[in-house]
Amino acid sequence: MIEPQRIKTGILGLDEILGGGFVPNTVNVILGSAGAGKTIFSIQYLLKGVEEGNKCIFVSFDMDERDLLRTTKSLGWNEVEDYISEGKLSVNKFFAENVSYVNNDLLNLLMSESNTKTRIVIDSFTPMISSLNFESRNDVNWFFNKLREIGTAVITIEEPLNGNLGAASVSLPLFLGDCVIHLKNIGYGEAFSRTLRVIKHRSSWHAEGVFPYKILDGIGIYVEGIDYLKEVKEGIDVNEILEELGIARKDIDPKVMERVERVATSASESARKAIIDLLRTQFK
Amino acid sequence: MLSAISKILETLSMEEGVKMVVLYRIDGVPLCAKLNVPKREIAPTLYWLEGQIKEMLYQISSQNLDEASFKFGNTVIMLYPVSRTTVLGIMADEEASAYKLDIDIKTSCRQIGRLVTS
Repeated sequence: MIEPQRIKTGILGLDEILGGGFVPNTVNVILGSAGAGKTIFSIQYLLKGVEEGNKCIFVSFDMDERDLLRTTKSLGWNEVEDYISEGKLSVNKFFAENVSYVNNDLLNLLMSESNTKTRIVIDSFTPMISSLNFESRNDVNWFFNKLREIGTAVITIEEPLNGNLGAASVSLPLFLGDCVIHLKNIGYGEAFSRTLRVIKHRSSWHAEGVFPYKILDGIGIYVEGIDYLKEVKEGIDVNEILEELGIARKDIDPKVMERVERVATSASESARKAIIDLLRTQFK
Repeated sequence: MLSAISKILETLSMEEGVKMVVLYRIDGVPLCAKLNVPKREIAPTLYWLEGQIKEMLYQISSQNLDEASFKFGNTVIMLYPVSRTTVLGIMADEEASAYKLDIDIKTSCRQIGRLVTS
């Protein structure tokens, strides 16, 4: 099976954690409280898109072009102004009170600006759905499907400061999004003060665990943990396990063998044990 | 850094009588864990710990405690603050040598502390 080419996130260290990047034509949710780095994440995603020749669209309810440029210049990304004037990056400010998720203006804008490879950012999505309840699930799903048709989207969701993720405006996008990344900043300034966790990544492997990240001038978000992932990934030799169990490869159902090979490269910490258990069930 | 922490925890988890070692963030998020026994053996205690850890870490932090420990049957849970944001949790047999373990834990705490604060 040929895996679809991944969309590089532009976040240093994150693609490895996501199994290569975002899956094309998906809605990817970035959850985080104020100051976690959601906007920086979004901009990095778009800058990578510009670098790769994608059409990039930034939609916000809080920031206009001037605000965005102020943020990017503070990080040393002076090229953004050129990207906007050259039409590689489109920045659009909407007024939240005039826009809802079923509003045609936003969808029309996204459709008219998009091409075959489009990266969309909605930062933040929360004002669009803040008044919704759980009955609106189908409507939000409809909007997400439209985004999937247009391109690969990153939407940011504001995490309430009281930590309550139960409200429909928070939990609906988490349920319906294809990938959910949680950025957390506890604000004490040590290595684990800022951490990133992938809550889910549909149709893809992703690393389990909590990964520290930093926001660095010039680079933006930098996620640590590549060395740790490599360590987890190493060391599963299927032939060695077969020998250990005294089982010949030819005696195993090819479909089972395919699963064994797949789990062996899955980078899961319990993969070795799972392989042994799976092979043993074949010969009971 | 994660890799180095993982190695320190692994070494500590190999000590005689140690069942599990976890590095917690002060808000209760487990950052890295090493188990030395099958998960099902410690699952009930682990679930208990999961429910209490936030409050316990808050108490350790706010009352500036050097350590805190709990006993469940023949299992002891010890919590040692490592830095302003991290606490090391160790689950061990009651019979494990407390003196030796205490020294090893404090050494590990210093090593991890250097990593997370640098």
